[in-house]
Amino acid sequence: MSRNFYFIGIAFFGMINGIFNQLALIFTLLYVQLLAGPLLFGSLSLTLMFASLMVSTATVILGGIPAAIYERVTGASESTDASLWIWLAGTALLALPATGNFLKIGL
Amino acid sequence: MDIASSLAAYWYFHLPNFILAVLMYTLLGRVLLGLMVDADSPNYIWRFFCRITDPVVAAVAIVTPKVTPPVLIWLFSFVWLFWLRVALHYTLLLFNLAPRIGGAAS
Repeated sequence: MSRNFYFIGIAFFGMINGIFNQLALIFTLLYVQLLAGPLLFGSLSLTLMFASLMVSTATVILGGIPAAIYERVTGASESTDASLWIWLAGTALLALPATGNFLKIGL
Repeated sequence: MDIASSLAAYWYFHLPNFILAVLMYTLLGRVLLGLMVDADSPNYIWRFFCRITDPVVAAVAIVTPKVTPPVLIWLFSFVWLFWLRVALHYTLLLFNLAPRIGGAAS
């Protein structure tokens, strides 16, 4: 399978969690207002989008940790199909709490 | 509580938070500057950005799959630092040791 499909899948699951995980989004929104307010000119829409981006990216990053550990343990010099599968599965698992909302509301 | 009193009372929160914020925004600057200068540019601002953010980038690269390009690792580092700041404030808040919302946490 082309590597691009893995990246699209990983980004997709990250996006789903960033948009539909209400609990994470509200928690992050509070902190984005506190920690990055000046960066976003105090705009609520920008703050909400930034909070969503933070949750999405955190999902992708956390999903990548098991893949990175696998690469270090196996001593691979490059990412393999197996590590990309682990990354994809990791982000999919992390996006599970948002799946209900995604299926109910849709894009 | 005014800003000066808050800084004095909660220095153990403000100092690490300030250091993490400096690293976070410098990483953002590195990403933006990286669009305009080469990776081995002798530009002193670029070299300064690289020098102070390289330890963070190296630490984040350890927990990131190798397929990730450098610019994404810089952006991931930015997000890691954001969440570290959140974790720092939230942990201290749990122990009732952090300034409350509106208490100059930014």
